[in-house]
Amino acid sequence: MLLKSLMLKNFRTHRETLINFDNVPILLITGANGSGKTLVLDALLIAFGGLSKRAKQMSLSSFIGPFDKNAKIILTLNNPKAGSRRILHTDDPSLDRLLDSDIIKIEVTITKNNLRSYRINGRKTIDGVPINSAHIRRIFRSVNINPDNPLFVTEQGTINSFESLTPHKQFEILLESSDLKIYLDKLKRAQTELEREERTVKPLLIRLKEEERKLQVLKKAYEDFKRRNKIEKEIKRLEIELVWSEVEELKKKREKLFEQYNQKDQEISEISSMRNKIEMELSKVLRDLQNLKTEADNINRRISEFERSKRILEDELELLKSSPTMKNKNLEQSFYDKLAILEKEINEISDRINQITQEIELIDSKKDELDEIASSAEGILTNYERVRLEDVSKFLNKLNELGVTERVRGPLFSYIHVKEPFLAYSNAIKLAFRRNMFTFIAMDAEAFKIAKRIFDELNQPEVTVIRYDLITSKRRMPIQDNAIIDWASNLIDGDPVFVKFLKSIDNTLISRNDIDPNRLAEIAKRYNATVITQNCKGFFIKFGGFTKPPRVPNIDFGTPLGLINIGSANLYQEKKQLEEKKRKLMEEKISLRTKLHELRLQYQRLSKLVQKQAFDKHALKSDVFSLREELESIIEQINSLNAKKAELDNLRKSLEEKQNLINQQIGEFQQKIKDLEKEKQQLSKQLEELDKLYEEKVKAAKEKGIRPNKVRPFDEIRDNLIKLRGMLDAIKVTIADKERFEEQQKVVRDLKEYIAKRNEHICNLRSDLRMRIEEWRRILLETVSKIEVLMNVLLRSRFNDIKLKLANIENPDKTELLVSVKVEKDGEYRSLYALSGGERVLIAQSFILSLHVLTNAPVQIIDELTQRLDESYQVLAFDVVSKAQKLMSSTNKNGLVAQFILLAPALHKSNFPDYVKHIVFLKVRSGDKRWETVTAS
Amino acid sequence: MGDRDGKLTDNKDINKEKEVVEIKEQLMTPLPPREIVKKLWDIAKKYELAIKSSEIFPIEETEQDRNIVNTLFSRYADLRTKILDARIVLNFVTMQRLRDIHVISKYLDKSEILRYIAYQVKRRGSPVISFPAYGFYKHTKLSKSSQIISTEINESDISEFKEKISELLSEDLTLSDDEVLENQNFENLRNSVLLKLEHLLNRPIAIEKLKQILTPLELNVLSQILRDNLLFAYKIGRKIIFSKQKISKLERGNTFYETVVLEGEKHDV
Repeated sequence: MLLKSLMLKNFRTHRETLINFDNVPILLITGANGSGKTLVLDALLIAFGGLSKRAKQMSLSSFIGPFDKNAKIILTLNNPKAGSRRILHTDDPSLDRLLDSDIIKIEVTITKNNLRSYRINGRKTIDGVPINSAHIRRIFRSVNINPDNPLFVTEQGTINSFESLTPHKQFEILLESSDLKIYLDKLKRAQTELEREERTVKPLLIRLKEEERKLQVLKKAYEDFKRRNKIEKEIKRLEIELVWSEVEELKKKREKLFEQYNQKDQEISEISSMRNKIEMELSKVLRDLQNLKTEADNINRRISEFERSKRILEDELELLKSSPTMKNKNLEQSFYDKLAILEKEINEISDRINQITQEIELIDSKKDELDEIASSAEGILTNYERVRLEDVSKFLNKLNELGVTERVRGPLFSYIHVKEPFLAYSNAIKLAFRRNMFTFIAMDAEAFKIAKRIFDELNQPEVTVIRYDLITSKRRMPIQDNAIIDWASNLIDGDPVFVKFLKSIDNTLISRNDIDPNRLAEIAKRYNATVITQNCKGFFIKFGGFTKPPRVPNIDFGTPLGLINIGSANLYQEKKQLEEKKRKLMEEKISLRTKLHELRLQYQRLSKLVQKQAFDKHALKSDVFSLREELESIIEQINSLNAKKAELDNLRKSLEEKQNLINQQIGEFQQKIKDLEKEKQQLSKQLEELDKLYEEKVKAAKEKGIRPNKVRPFDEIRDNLIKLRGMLDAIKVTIADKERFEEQQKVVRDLKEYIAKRNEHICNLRSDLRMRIEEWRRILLETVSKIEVLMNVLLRSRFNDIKLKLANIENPDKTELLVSVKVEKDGEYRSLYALSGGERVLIAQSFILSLHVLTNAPVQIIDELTQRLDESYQVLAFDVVSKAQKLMSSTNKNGLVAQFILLAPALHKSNFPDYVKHIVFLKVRSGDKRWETVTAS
Repeated sequence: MGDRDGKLTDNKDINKEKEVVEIKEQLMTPLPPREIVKKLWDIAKKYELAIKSSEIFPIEETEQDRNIVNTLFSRYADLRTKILDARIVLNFVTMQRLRDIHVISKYLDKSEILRYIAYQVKRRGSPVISFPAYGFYKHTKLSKSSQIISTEINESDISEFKEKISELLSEDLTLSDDEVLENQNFENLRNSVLLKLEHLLNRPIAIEKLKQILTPLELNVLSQILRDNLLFAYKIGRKIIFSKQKISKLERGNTFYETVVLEGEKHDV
């Protein structure tokens, strides 16, 4: 059940009344008139968001009682779930959230200023908007409670008024109560609007006609425009043709001129060919002349040559005759004498040269011998070594002279030798001690002093002298590196004095070949010594690098001293003397050879001269003879040539005459050609100008348009053009006229299209509306039929048959609801108005209740249920209500049990079933708190 | 005036057509009434807002909406949905009216508009007098009416309803006439009530005690007694003083009438 309780606070006579509806299907409220029964109905309607008829007639504030400032209604409702939703629900999610509760409490406060404010479960607002009666009505619509429905609450007089209404009014009540009126109103409004709308086509058609008229007006201008366009196009075409016609005329002119030009050209070429022919003839003549000239020149030259030859021959002949050869015979003898002297002198010099050559050979062989001796003694020494050796030798000789060779020992290389196992390292060891090879050691201070004196006497030779007692012993650390053989001083042996000396100064390590240079450089750096490889190609210095190794001394250790030193010096001197002698002999030999050569040349020249002298003499004799013969022949030839020359002269003259004639002809031809060329040039100039003009015209014409297939004569085109331009001037339309026309055309087209569409749309809407009105009628008839069934059921104990009929159903404004009742079996049907008052009340009640059954509202309030009913009809009225309640509970779609609130002033029935709750209202005198206090005291 | 009678985009056309097809497909399968109502609400709101702001939809769009509504028409569950549907049809008509006005006004130039306004002013400026009258219906004409249509629209349509109703009320609830109170007993009843209250007069008695003393019917009679001033009742707190006369002491000061609600309790007879 929907209603749970109703609390009225300061609601007119209700100070604080609580009515409990929980599990009460029928609540009967009785009480004398004015006891406040109808206030319950008023309060419920306000709580449902509506107003009762009497509340509408008076102010809301009149409901405020004397007990407080404001009146308050608190309606508590059950709101169980029906499926996924609550029974009370709306489409508004905010409002729905508020309704999501099993119990809903609607609280209405009525204030003095005629305002009512609502609270739902204590909340005053929804989304910031105060809750109002519209919200509340929306809530109750979900359970089909509509306080606006005139039959929702059967107020006082409702039944009375209903049964006395006209059948049409009753029909209207039926419509209003069943929502069919709202449906009909909407459809009727739509129908009216649609009819109005159908009429609107008229202004639209008028508009269309008007726009079409405008279009017709613009059409003439448009036609003119089209004509103008056509003429303009034709003019344009003619203009193009005109230009091309000009081009054609120029072309013709040009062709004519070109023909003339060609004619001139042909004439020129004809004359030119004639001229060429003559010129060829001339050139032949000239060539002949030239040939003649050449021939004449040749003859002249030959003549002059012959003349010269003749003179030469004559001179030669004279010369030969006067030649000394031919005259002096003594000269020949002197030549032979001189030749004999020269031959003798040559022989003598040759002998001397041979002699000198032999001497030189002797000297060379001696020198070779000396070299051999020297090389075997000292090897191949460098000059430096040789100088030093000489100095050492001199120093040693002096020491020898003084007898101190034992006290001043040296030189060093003679006193030491390489140890046997290390002979392979001899060169490296020599390199290590290269600077000390010529060192002498004075064994005591006296000896040292003597050595110094000798040194000074010999003008300080290249020797070194060391004082023995000043030599300090030095210990070398053993080398633990397999790359190194040992310290150089450890590899030698010999005089301990010198060995000690070398050990004291030794700073050189001897290494094997093919050791990594980096390693050797590191060793040199590590031992602060020089490292020399066995082959002497590696020379690593103590700073940790390598450099070019110095030259290895040629003198070997342990070489014997005395002999070599002295002998070598003598051999050297001897060799020098031999070389000097050889040089002098060579010089003599060369000078003798030169002299010999000169003498031989002299001899040859002289012998040639002698031979020539003999030959010339013989030749001169024969020459004279041949010259004479030759001279004669030349004279003969000269004569014949002169004859030929005269002949050629004659021929030349005739040719020259011919040449003059030809030249004259050529001159004439050239003049003619010149004239023609001039004419041709003029024509060419004209052609050129014409070409230029033609090209310009063609270019202009192309710009104007493509050449038409057919081009008429210029004059014809021009006449046409003038005519068309005249016509064009006569048409006064612009592009704007065309645009206006097109715009208007679009307007008309759009409008026509729109009218067609809207007519179709309206037709569709009309058919939709017709369908809905049919539906409305169907529902109406169904509703009436159902009411009829329900009324028969509700009142079957009293009436045999109740019939409901509708008159003028086609016109809802005149439709009538006609009720006819068959009271007795087989009796006649009587109209409502023919029934008794109580019967009419029962019929009206059953009609209203049947409607409620159909509207499916879970709460019904009926005021004055028993009014105008006698006792038996009162019982019947309760019976009808009970049946209706049962029907409504069974048909409620939410499964809600219907609740009836019946108000009755008096009661003639004493006992009710359990589902009827009966409460009685008493109206008593009362007062405010103060009054109560006073009275109590 | 808003103008939406420009062309609908192709996409919109396609979407609308798709929607119509979808609804038709849904018709083949049960569509919840709430969904139908929601759809109808959307369309109704769309048109009402547009009409309010004078926004015009193209005819094509309205035709598509009309198709949707017509497709749903056969699925309406109740009258309320049908009313909503009628509201939409009305909206369609109103929209068409707006559309026509818009089209006409679009093609009118200023002078024509002025002429039209002048015509309307002249037409509306002419006084019209009407005399509303109420015609009484003569009952006698009823029976003569030739257009009476029987409500028996189709017996088969409501036969099910009839059966259901009859089944529900197989049990007769008619009450026995024996229980009806005889009119002549009312006087006796009133006297009996007065007698029952006789010894309780002029002293406060608890309201709840009244329910034990009097039956609901007697309480109802008491209500009548108080209305007829046969007794006077004064309520002080949760107690009542009954008196045959007005108690002058209690009549002083601010006195009001107050309704006292008494729930009748059943008494063993």
